Amino acid sequence: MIMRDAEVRRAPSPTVPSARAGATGPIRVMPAIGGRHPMAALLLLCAVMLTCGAGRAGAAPWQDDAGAAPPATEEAAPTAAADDAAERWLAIRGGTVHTVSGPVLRDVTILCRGTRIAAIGRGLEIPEGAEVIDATGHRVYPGLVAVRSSGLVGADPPEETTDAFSLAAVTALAGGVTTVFSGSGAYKVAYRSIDDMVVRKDLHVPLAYGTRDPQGRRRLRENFDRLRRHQQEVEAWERRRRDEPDAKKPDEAWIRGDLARYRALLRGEAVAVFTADRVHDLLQVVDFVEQYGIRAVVVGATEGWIVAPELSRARVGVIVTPRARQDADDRLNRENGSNIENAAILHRTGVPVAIIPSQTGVSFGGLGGRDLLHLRLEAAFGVRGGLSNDAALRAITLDAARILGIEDRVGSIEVGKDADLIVADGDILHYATHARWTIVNGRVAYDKQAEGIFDHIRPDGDWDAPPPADHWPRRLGMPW
Amino acid sequence: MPTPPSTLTRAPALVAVALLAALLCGWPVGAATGAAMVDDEPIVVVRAARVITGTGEEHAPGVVVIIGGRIRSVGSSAEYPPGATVIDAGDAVVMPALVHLRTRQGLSEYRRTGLRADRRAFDELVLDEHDFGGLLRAGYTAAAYIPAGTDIPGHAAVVRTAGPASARVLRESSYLRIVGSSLSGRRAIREGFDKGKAENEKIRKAREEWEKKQAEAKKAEEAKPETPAPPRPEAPRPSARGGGGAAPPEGEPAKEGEAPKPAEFTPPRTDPAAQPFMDLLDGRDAPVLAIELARASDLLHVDTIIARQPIRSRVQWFLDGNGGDWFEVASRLGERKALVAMAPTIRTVPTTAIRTNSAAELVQAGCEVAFVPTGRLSSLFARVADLVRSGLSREAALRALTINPAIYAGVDDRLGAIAEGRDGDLIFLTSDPLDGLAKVTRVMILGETVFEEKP
Repeated sequence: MIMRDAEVRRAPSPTVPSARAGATGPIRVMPAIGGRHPMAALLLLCAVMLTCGAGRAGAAPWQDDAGAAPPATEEAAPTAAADDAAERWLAIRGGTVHTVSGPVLRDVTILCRGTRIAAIGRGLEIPEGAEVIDATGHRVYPGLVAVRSSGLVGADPPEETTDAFSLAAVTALAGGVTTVFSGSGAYKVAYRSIDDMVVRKDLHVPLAYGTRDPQGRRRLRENFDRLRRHQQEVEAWERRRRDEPDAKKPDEAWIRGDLARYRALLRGEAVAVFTADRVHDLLQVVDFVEQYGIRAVVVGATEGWIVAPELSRARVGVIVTPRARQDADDRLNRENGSNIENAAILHRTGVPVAIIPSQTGVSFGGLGGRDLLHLRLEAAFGVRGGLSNDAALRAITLDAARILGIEDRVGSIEVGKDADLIVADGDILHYATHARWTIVNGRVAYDKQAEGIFDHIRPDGDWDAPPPADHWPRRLGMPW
Repeated sequence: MPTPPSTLTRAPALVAVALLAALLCGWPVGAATGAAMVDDEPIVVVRAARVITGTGEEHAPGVVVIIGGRIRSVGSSAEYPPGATVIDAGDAVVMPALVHLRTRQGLSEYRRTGLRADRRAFDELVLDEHDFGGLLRAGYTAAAYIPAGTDIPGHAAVVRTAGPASARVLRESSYLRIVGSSLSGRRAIREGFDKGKAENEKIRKAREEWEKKQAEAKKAEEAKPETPAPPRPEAPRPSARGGGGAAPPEGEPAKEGEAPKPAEFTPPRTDPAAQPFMDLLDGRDAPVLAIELARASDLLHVDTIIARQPIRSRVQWFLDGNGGDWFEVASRLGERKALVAMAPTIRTVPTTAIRTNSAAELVQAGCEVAFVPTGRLSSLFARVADLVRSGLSREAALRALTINPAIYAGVDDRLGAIAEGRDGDLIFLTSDPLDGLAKVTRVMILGETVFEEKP
C-alpha cells in the first residue's frame, strides 16, 4: 500500500469535544433573534451559541486559497411563504444533537424560527405556539445532502415543476435526505410544500476531459487558453487605460454559452465537474485543474486511492461510491481497480470526500439498497473501509454541502443555518435506524408514524406498541 | 313576470279533470289542442312520483308547472288551469336536466398553444349541423364546448343540445380555459397577468397624457379671452372606463395633435389576448378562469403564480388526469370553498393500491364538486352511485350533478335546478339517480319534450 506513506498532510479531521464541554459553552446573543422578538431577552440569557470553529477548521483545502469563497448568500426574495414562515417556531428538545461542525450535545433544545435554526442550547424558553418535538432518546442530525439525484425534483426549473406529493420525495425524507443536487443546482426535497425549495443554482459546470477524446481535450484547452489570453488582454487594457483613456476594451461579445461558464470557472466563481474513475483519467483531470487553477470535483474516482496525493495537491474534491466495484486487471503492471478503502484513503490524504450510492434515485424495485434511500448506508460502507464515523457522516452532510458550495446553508446544525434536521431513533449510520421525523426548512416534512412507508415498524423499537391502524393518512372512514 | 292570472287559482278538484283531458289529448305536447295559455304562453304541468329540485329539496309526489318554457312553481301539489298540458310521469323521478361542463364532442382537434385568451370555442360550432344526439339522450340539455389546445386556448361556449333555435345559445363566451397542469400553461398564466398589467398601465398613461392635454387646451382657451379665471387643478374625469370586458374599441392612439381636440378619450390599442387579465386586474367584469390540474402538486405551482392576484373568487378548477392524490390538497381547496369539476371515479393513490374517493374528500373539506361524465355518457349515474356508496353524501352528489355544473358553465341563472324562474329543462329517470340503475327516459327543454325513450 503506497498510500500509507504518501499521506501529504493531515486530514482536516473534525475535533469533537466532549458533549459536556459543548453543552456548557459560552453564552452569547442569538443573532437571529436578538432585538427582534420579545423572547430575545430570555434567549439571550439561556441560549448557547455554537461556534462553528470545527467547521471552519475542517474547510476543504481546495477552498482555502482558491480565493473564491462560495457565492455570497443571496437572501430569498420576500414571498408570501416567507412572511408566513417568519413567526413559525419549531422546537426539538431532549435529543442528542450531532452538530457535525462541532460537538455532540446531549439533552439540548434546537429552536427553529421560520426556515432557519434560531438557537441551540439547554433550558431554552420555547415560544408560545411553537411546535414541539420531544426527541428524548433520539439523535438529531443535520439533513443529509445528496450530491447527485434523479427523480426527486422536477425537470428544470424544479421549483416550477416538482411534484410536491411524490412517493419518491417522502421516501427520500424517510432516508434522511433533505437536500439534493439536480441539473446544476441544489434543491430541498419538497414534500407537501414547494416554498423555499431552491438552495442555489448554477453550482457546477460539467466538463469532459477524458483520455478517450484527445480532440475534445484539445478543444477544451484551446477555449481555456483563449479565455486566459482574453483575461490578460483585459488586465493589460486596464493598466493602459490610466494613460490612454480612449483605449479600446477587448471585445467580449464572443464569450457566451459554454465559454461564459468556462470564464466563471477561471474566475473561481463555479466548480468544474469531471467524471473519471481510472488513474489516467484522474491524472488528466489533475493536470488540467493545476494548469488553469480552477476548482474541481471528480465524480467516480474509483481508482482515486492510487492517486490520492495528486488529487489532494490539485485540491480536487471527489464524489465516491464506497460500494463501487472495478476488478483489478492483473495485466497492468501497477495497482488498479476499486478498493474498499478508497474513501478512507482519500479522506486521510486531505481530499474532500462526498459519498453517493450507485443509483441516484429512490428505487422501489426490491431491496436494492443502493439508492438514495440508503445514502447513509453507503456512507457506512465507507466506515467499513476505514473511514471514521465522523468522516462518513461529514461525507453525506457538511463535506457534501461543501463540494456543492452550499455549506453556508446546509450540512450542519448551527445557528443561522437552514433548519433541515433528522430526528433518528439511533445512529444514522446503523442499518436498523429510522428517521422518526425529518424536518425541512423548519417544517416537519416526514413523520414516520404518519406516512405509510415505515410506520409498521414499531415506533422507537417498542414491540409492545399497538400496530398502526391505518397505513396511509386517510381522512374519511371508508366502508371497505 | 306578470302577476299570475286568476285562471291559475282554481280548486284542486280540477286536477283530475285536467289530467284526464291531457291524457285524452295525447302526450305529445305540441299536439295538444286547446291547451291553456297564460298570456299566449303554453302551460305544461309535470307530475311525478318524485321531483328532485337540485336545490336540496325533494318532493314526493312532485308537480312542476312550466309556463312559457319557464318554471313557475314546484312542489308536492300545484294548481293550474284545466287546459294545461299535463304530463304524468308515473313512477319516474324528475330532476333538472344535466349540464355538460366540458366537452369537445363532435369538434375536430387542433393544436393551439400560448396565450390565446381572445379565442372562443363558439366560433367552431355550427349549431345547425352539429349532432348533439348522444348528449341529449344521456340527459344533457346544455353543454360547454371548450377550445382545444394547451396553455390558454380560449373561452368555452355553452349551447343547448336541442330546442328552439332562438334558445340554442346560452353563452357565447363562458369560462376561460387554462391548462395549469403544464409548465408552459403556468407560464402562460404568468404572461397573461404580466401583459394585463402592462396593457392597463399603457391605458392609464395614455389617459393621463390625454387629461393633461385637455387641461392645457382648456387653460389656453381660458387665457385667450383674457378672463383671469383660476385654472382648475384637474380636468373632469371622462366617463369612458375601458369598456366592460369586451375588446377595446378600435381607435387611433391617444397621441393626437392639438388642433382636433378629441371630445372623449380613446384608449390605445391593446392585445385582445390579454383582455380578460386586464379586466381581472382592474376589478372589471371578467370571465371565470377554469384552471385544469393533472395532479395535486399542480395546485401549489399555480398558487405561487396567482397567490397575489386579485382573482381568488374568479377561479374554478378542473381536476384532470388519473391521479388520486387530490386528498393532499383537499383542505387547501376546501378552505377557499373552491368549485372543482372532476370525473366521478374512484382512483388509486399514486404508486399504491389504495383507493380514494376524491370527490368525497373534497366535499368534506368544503369544496363544491361538479361532475363531468367520463367513459360512456350513460354510465354517469352508476358512477356517481358508486361514490355515494363509498362516502359521498347524497346532497353533495345531487348538487354535483345538477346546480354545480351549471355554475361551472356559468348558466346557473337558467339551468341546473327546478326552481321558479329557471328554464323548464327536465329529465325523467326510471328510478332514483343514485341507486345505480337510473336511466333517462325523457328529456324536456323549455317545457317541450325533445327526447323520449320508446318503450
